[in-house]
Formats: sequence, C-alpha cells, structure tokens
Amino acid sequence: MANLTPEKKVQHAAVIASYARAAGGIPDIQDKATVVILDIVPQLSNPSRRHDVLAFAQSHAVNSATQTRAAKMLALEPTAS
Amino acid sequence: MWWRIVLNPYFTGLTTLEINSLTGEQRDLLNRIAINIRIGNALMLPGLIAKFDPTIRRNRMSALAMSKILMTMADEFKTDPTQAHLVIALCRIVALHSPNAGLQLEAAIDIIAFGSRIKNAEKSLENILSAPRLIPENMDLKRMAAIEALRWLI
Repeated sequence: MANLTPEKKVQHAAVIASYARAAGGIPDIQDKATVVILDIVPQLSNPSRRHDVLAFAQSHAVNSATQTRAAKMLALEPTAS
Repeated sequence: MWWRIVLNPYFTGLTTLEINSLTGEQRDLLNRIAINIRIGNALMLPGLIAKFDPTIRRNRMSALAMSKILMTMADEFKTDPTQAHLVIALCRIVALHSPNAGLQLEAAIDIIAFGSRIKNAEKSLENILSAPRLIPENMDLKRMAAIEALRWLI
C-alpha cells in the first residue's frame, strides 16, 4: 500500500513488533508485525540483512506457526561467511 | 509570522514544511484565532484556544467547549482529502488537552484514521503511531494504531 522500500517497510514493521511487545503485551499484534516482516524479507537484496531481519523475526514471533515459518526461512538463508 | 509563535506549541507534531504548506485560508483561520487570543475574545471560537492551554485556562468548561469546537472545526476539514494535516493538528490539540476523555479518544482515533490519508508514507505511519503516545494508557488505541500501521505496510 505505502510507497516505501522493502527495507523501510521492514524497519517500520520491526518498530511495530517491538512497540507491541514493549506496550505491555499485545501478542497478536506482535505476531502480525512479525508476519509482515516475514512477507517482506524475500524482497531484501542483501543476504546479510535478510539474515539479521529473520533472526529478529524469529525472536519476536509469538504463534507457533509464525515461529516455525521464521525458523524455516532462517535455516534456508545462507549465513554470511 | 506571529501567529506561528502563538500556535506553534499546538502544532509540534507538524514539520516546518507542513506548516508552510497550509493554504491561505488556513493561515487566515489561524490568524483569526491568534487575533481573538490577543483581544481576549473568549466567546469566539478562535479566542477559546487561549483557554485551552492548561497553564492559562481558568475553568474546565471553557476547555471542554474549546475541545468540542475544535472537533467541529476538524469535522469541517474532514471532507477535503487535502486537509488531513490540519485535521490531525486540530485533533492533536483535543487529544492532548481536552478535559473530556471521550473527546480525547475520539480525537486520537481520528488521528489514526487521517494519518492514513497523508501521502507521505513515513509521515502517515508517524501520525498513526503518535495517537497512542497522546493517550498512553489506552491499550485499545495502541492496538488500533498498530493494526492500521501494519495495514499501511502491506
């Protein structure tokens, strides 16, 4: 919807995920923000950045399905040598 | 401009660029507000803004009346899609200073709704997520802002 770069979108979604966690617990929103991050990650061109973002997503995923998805995506992402 | 000195404390959420982008009509409106502040005309809509400041207001009824009038003002601009900045600015005053919790909430919800109408995506998100900061104890508002901000990202 918004005319933002994938990097910017990821940054904003990460802020929302952190905000939802810091707000004293809005776990469903935290998970939704994480899902948005996971949706956008493939659009990031830098592998190292993708790895970092996926690690963030994994640490913020609340639902088990989201956790599993983040873990799978992270496992498929080649680590920086 | 002197009206900016009078009103700037209420428009801290706007950038200088956005303040400069106000139309002549809006500036005229702000001028009239400022003039009424100067002559102390508390009966006129613009003059009430002076009483809106918690440091100078003398009674809660005036502040409540002011917040209702400001919301009416905001309503008048809601139909114009180019005036989202002004709606947000007016609602921000109400959310921050109204003595009525219901009006505060209504204003904050409008900030979220009209934040989405700003063309600048960064500014939209900033506006949307600013509402819970104005009424920090309201968890529903945090949720609403976060959902709207996420919708904006997808």
